[in-house]
Amino acid sequence: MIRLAGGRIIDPAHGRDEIADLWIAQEKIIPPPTDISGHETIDVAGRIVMAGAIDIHSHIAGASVNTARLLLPEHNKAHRRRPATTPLSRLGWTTGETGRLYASMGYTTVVEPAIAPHNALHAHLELADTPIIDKAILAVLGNEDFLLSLLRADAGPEAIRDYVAATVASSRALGVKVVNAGGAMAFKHNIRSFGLDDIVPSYGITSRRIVTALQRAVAELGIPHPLHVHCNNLGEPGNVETALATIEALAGARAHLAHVQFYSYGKEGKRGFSSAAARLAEAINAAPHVTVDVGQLMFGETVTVSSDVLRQFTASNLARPRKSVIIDGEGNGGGIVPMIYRRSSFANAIQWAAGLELFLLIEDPCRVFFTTDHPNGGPFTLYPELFALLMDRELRKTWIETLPKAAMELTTLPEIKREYSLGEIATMTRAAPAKLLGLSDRGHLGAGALADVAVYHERRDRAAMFRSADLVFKDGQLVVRNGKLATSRSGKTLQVAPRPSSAVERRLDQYYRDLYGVSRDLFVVPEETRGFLGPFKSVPCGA
Amino acid sequence: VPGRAEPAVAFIDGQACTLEEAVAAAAERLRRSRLAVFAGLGCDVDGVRSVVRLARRIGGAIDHLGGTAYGAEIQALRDAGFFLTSPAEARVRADCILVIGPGAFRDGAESLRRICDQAPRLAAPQASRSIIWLGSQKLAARDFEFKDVLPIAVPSAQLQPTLATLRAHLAGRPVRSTSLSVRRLDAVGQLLRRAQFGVAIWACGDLDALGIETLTGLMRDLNRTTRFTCLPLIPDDNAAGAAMALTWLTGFPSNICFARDAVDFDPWRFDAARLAASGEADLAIWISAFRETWPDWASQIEVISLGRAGGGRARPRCSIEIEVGIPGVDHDSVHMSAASGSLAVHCADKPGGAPSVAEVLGSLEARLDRPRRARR
Repeated sequence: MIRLAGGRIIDPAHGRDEIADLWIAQEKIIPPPTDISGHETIDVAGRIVMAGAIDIHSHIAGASVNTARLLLPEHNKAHRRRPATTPLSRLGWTTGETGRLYASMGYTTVVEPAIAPHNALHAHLELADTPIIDKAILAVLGNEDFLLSLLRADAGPEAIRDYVAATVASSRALGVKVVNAGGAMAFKHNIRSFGLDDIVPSYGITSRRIVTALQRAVAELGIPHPLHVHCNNLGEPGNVETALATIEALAGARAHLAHVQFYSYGKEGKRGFSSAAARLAEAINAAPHVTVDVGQLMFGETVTVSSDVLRQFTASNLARPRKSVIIDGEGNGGGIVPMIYRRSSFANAIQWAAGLELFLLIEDPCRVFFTTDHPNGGPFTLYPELFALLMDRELRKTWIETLPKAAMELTTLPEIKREYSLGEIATMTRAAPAKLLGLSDRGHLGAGALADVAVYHERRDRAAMFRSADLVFKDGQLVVRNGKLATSRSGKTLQVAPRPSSAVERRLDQYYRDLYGVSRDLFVVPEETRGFLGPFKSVPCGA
Repeated sequence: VPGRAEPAVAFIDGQACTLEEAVAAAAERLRRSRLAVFAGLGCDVDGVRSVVRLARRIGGAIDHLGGTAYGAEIQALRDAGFFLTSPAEARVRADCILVIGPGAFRDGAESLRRICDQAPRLAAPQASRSIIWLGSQKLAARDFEFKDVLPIAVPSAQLQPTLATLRAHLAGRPVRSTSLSVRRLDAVGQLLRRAQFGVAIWACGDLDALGIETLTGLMRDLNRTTRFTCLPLIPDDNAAGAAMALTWLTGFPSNICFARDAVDFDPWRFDAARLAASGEADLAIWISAFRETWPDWASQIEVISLGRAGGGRARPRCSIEIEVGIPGVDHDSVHMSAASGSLAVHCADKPGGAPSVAEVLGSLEARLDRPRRARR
């Protein structure tokens, strides 16, 4: 039994911001006990106590991420000793470092959001080798022949639901993501630009139809995390229209729009590229069924890793260094394109500002999530700098002064006065993501919750404060002390387990044998008892 | 040898012994070694995990790709990027297959057959499939079941220059080809351009890194107007899967060393052949669970072998041999499936046979924890 004594407990899920003790017994948080014999007191007076943070969208594992590692050995600190301080060189790149670095910032749960079901085993193998934190994957659907054929045949919601259940179960995912619905398939037909109402060749259905069908299936299956949507036209000037149309297409149904910064561009100004983040934020504020994460862009070197192969192929002209990997998979494709985001670049400055505008103009911290779409907007190791920017308008001003004036004139950022409070940060990174993912056992400090706890030294330098947590507990075990690893451990992999019908299983088995000439077993993630993977934990799926 | 298990699964200096004795002796050799290099890595993902754990612990080096035919693909990807598809996608969509070099119809014949055994069902309606074989060789009819292959004979040494010439010609540059007439180049180029979803296929080992980079350049050019991608046929010794696992575990696919606190990556310095020849390493752990292989540098260094046991035959400096099971045959395994092009579970046909690489290295690691035995 541990007593964290006298810290400032910030627990927005319970409306608490007060000085109090927090009690931990085994892996849980407990109410203050009457019998306190044999407990250990850790004095945390003057420090901030929050639940462990949850990252809902960070590309930390899987075949594409691993290909990025392969593609860019020069970003590994072991390969390139100078400059040692580039963001990617601090990233570590290995599964072991991913777990350690997340934990040292006070993160205890991370979701890898883009795994093609056919590569789910690979992702789970990597996650099993990612220590300390709990993790999960989202399965990417929406470009595979099986689903598109169902839609072409007007198969009805029940068939789609069965198929989604079977695929989520066989890939052991926590939810479903759709990436540029139909776009990867259209690219195979040599189409180079694909919008919400464009038609997938040879299937005769629109992207809109795929998104709405998947949204409905996920909702009807009772998967707690609503459909995670990566829209069409990512990165294109004027694509705010696509994001707005997608919100409208959802017609009040729940969905999560990922990395919306990349969809918040207008066409104004001499260069035909401007921030439309204010417009998008307004639409999001008016759409209570929609949650978003930002995908903030941070300056420096990084690598973009995406299932949106169409977009990545287009972006491969911008690759720095000039090399990229473009993959056409069975369902979704993938693209790995290294990038350097520069302060001197007009476009990058617009993107940076648009991300911050979204954070600051979306009013409800329960509906906007903290991401850089790691590593696409910047590595997750830059989160502390981003927390600081959100919490300090003077700091933002000093950044704005170093950026191209022409770009800043096409955003509303310089006029925004809002500063995030610690409570709002805790909502955005703890309470709200737990709710969004259906993880009632975490994201808060109420009795009965998992003892995932992060303790920070309160500092004026918010980046320093969030960069290295003072103490971190995972499942009640002290894993980080003074920002350094105290004990390593294995975390769990979270999944939902919808029950697919045996009919769809049989149909899929037959489909794989006929079309691909291989057994579907090759693509099924096995039971943990087989020993190759770490422990799984099922999250209830309430239909 | 008293207490020896039947049948013998391990040898010390050519003498049969129990597994436990061999593991104890191997642990002793590891303790005494100045620098040990783990090489070959013909094992499943769990085997790679245990290699990394052990190498990290003893400060050893790992050279995985020196012993396989997959190194060129990795190097080319690292230098210039890649276009890639999967065997299943090639099967259902490729209306044009460009086979490059002799190996695909030989070592890769089974994979190629699976890809070509039906029409591309997800290609455009009425699409058929054409197969072009650049660098064709005469094969006996009974070994060759592929129909309608357009053979283009090119001497092996001219294969890569021909690819470069083809790319240059398609890019509209003046070329003077030595192996193919310009008219022939033009005909091939037109076929590639007319493809709606083409796939270039070769067997790993047939192209070196520069050849693959040339091909990637050709792909980039073709993709300006149509779709074309690549599919290297990987060897079935999990070379690709081991490289993947090494990458997520250490950041690199091969040629690394844990002698210092951070992992060091240096393809030249941690090349097992060089480490053996120079004497910088004094012990090699050769791992070949899928099939019997033996490195040509093995005579220059003391070797502990995990693979098919040879009983000391023709392996002069192999001091310890431990027979391990075949992944997916003797024990359940996760390794690269040539059929799916991804990591997959392979269930054992007859579990309970020889131990896995992970089991042997795991007990070896546990041995290192025990106090040193008094030397006899």
